[in-house]
Amino acid sequence: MRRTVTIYTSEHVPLAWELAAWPERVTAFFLDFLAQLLLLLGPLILLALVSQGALFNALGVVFGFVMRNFYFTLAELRGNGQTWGKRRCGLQVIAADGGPLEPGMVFARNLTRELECYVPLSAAASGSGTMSVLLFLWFVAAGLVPLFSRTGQRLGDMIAGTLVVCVPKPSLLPDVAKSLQLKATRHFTADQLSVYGIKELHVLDELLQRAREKDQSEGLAVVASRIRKKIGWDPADMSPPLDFLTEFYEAQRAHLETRLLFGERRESKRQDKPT
Amino acid sequence: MSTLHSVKFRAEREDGWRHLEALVEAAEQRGLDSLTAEQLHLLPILYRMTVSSLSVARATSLERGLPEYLERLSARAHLVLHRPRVGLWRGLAQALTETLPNALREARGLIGLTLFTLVLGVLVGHGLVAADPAEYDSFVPEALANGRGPTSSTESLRAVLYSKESLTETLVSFAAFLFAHNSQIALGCISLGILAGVPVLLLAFSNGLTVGAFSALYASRGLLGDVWLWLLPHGVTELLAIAVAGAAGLGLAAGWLFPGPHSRSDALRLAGRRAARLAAAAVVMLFFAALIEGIVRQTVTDPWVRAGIIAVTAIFWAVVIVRGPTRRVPA
Repeated sequence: MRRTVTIYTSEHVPLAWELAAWPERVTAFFLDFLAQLLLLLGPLILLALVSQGALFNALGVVFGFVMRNFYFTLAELRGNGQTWGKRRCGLQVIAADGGPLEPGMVFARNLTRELECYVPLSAAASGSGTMSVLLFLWFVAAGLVPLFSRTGQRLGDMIAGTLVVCVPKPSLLPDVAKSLQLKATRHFTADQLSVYGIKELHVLDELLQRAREKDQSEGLAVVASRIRKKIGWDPADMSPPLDFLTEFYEAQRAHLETRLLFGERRESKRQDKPT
Repeated sequence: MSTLHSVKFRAEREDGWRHLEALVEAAEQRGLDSLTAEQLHLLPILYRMTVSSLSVARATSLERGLPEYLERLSARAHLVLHRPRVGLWRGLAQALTETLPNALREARGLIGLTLFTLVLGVLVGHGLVAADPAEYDSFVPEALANGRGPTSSTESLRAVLYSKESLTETLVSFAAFLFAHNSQIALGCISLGILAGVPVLLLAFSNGLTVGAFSALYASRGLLGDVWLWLLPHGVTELLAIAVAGAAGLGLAAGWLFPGPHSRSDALRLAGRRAARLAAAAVVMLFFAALIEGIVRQTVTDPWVRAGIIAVTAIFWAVVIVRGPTRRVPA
């Protein structure tokens, strides 16, 4: 189960975001790292064509500095918390309090990246002995922080007060009940409709959806006969399973939604029947 | 048409959701600026309608996937609607003219403390090396000394102060000084702030010692005035930037040592935001310092012009830092 964070909108409606898992974040980081390299390489090749020697070195260092320190900051400011890599991976930086993602937060979380990653690594590489071991340990420890933090924040996120969350594209399924053209020919009693709960309703929903999209009807007969047996339906009814199931679905949903209005939410058939 | 009330509920509102989805998609891809005035007007209305649909759907609809869809859509729309009001370039301009100066003003006490330590280091370094020139080597690292030491001739020392360089060499020294040395010190100051702040003051003090040792070396050849005229045109900005970075580190330390009314993690977060603003200010200051250092210093050798630059930068930063906070910046 993925961890979520809940933020209340100004209308006091809770909105839950899934927190980004570390594999996605590492992938996004590598994509951005690649983008940085490419963005750096382009101007450098151009530069190499027009100049060489000291000027090339100097401009190269300046470009490198800007890329290393400001790529993430500028990209996150521009994309409202999404760099190119984060967008690819469906991630976004949000303010932990649900408010706007202020530029100060973006600066803070990306400057800290320097202290968590680049500075200790380069210093450890150029240093010697105990100091470089210590710096490397600091780098490893900083990298492990998100794994142990309850909200998956790295040090920079904690200081800036930001979270990295998943922002999947919303997709609205066609409503199974909407296209029902049948007039109800069957009448289900309240007892028959009290057998199943919401979970079973959704399984049936999925089944019907698939049957309608791809004409996969092989499972339908089995399901229909099991439901008939369970609710004690007239065994003489030999109508096509799809007709029976769609009518049962609609009656079941109407029943459960009505009970919902009375404050009874029956999650599954295992939940005790209302008395 | 089905008679289910949840089907009617969806049928009545679905167009609005789809419309919002398209607007959010466009705003995410091309920014809010790409929307027409009419679309901008519709966005918050559709958002509220969708959020209210979400509440209703959670309470009454059992359609599979509908509440999830509405929640994702509302969440994305929430992020689009609650993005900061200012764009990238306006934001940068605002940072330069408001946020960073205010951060400097609010931290002037800590900046003063670091600067005091730095100046103390300069005086001590100068005094010690003036008393015993052999101390020079213990204060100035080989890489920085660049061959300048008690054994160098007066002529070669003077040559460094008044040398002229070509544009290319200027750029090289610009890059080298800005990136290799100063930024490292500034970032080091901030990260050391996590360790309770004492190392920050030590670092400032030891940097002061180095400068003081240089000054004593030149003073021993009768070049005291010349060396400061060489050092200070960019040094005012640069040393102040290091003091600012030190103040950022100290503020971070103060955050978790003395959390005040906040919880320790909240205090660290608030201090972290202040420190980040100060770090950004320090980077900007170092950029200007390197610009002066790389270009002005090597092309301007007239002592009066150098003195003029010192005065102008000193007065400018003094005004920025010392004048009381004018506008509160929300944390």
